[in-house]
Amino acid sequence: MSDASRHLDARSWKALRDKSPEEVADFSTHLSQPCEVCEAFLERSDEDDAFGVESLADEALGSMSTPREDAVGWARLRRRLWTPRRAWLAGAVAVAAAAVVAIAVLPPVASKEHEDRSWRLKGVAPMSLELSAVARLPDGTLHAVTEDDLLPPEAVVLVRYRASEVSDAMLVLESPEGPAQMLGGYTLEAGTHDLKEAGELAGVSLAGEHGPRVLVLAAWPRGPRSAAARDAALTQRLVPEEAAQARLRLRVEPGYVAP
Amino acid sequence: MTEEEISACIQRANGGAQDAHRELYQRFHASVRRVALGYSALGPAEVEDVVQETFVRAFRELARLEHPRAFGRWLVTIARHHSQALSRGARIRGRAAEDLALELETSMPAIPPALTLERRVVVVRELIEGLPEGPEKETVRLFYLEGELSAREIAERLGLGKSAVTMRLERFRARVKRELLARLLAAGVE
Repeated sequence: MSDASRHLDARSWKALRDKSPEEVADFSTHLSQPCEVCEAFLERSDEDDAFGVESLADEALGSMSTPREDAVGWARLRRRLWTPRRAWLAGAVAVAAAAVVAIAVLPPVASKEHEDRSWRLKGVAPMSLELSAVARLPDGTLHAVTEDDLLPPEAVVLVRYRASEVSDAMLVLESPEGPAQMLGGYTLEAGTHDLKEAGELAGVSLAGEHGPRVLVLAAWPRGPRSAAARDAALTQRLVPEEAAQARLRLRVEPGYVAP
Repeated sequence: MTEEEISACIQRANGGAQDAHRELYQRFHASVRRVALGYSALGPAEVEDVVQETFVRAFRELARLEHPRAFGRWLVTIARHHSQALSRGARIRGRAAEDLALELETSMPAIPPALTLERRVVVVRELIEGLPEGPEKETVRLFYLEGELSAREIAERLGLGKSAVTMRLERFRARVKRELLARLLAAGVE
């Protein structure tokens, strides 16, 4: 180029896209100073964004102010993305008031077989974990869920837990026919609580389910690597034996009418 | 949120962790919304639609994203495409969905270290500071630095036409693109 009067146009843009060394060198210098002609080209350009400058600019411009928490937008998005598989209910539903049933306590197993696994938590005391649930039925009533309970696919299962200590946990829905569904990661508090996320009750929709299902709450006592162990399990879509687990077997039958 | 934290968050989101999706949404919704708010043809409901559609699309395709570090750029690209489609006007609005259905580009160009987000933010800040005091600087400051008002609202506040505000914002955006392109090309020369 070596011509200071040259500006961006369709031809020079193509040369830049083709990485013409001379054009690249000259325009890197030319564009380092304000140029109304080139900026006008960039403003109206319908050329392909071969350099990704559109997104580079938008990302930087959008990061100039501090983002505010957008609870409303997130709630809307969450409903779109996870309904009907998962459902969240506003805190008005009193799960605790229902006669929930403790289901399982499975402290972590410290077997030598697993000692070499990198994500195993060493030296942690066994924790106790219990899972109980009520189902919100289509007519709005709450039904205490017992082991091997029959539930309609329209039901939403609300989870309650009792943990002996603060822990990082995940909720999983297992099916004999396919891979387990990772329903999300949570932080459990010590004591008996409803499973919540962002202040709302976490519920599991059974829409689209049919046949035997197992709801699994797996937890790692809070420690330096507990969250990492939980996240690895979510990524690998596995429920490791080393995690404390509480399980609840269900059966989903279409057309079932609760007594 | 560092790039490493974002990558880890995306990994967890790919594993189904909803809290990871929430973290990504809260970290990036403002950038996505800013893209849509720059289109004065879009009303508040349409802006929210752009935000929702962008994240729905991105989260559903998340596993295909080749470089987790490009997540932010990927999001604003989806948002701009959708905003453009919506702002073309009611007569072809139906094509927005069609445009969105097109194959989503999941590979983003690699960027040199000189253009990390932190450095680009510094570049933008310097460009804003370098603007002469006047209506353009005021428009840019209100839109990008305060980050609360839409192009429409700024037009009302400053007593301007919507197109005048859009034009100022686009002119400044072109200046940012020119500066970033110069740095990209310089990195290629080195």
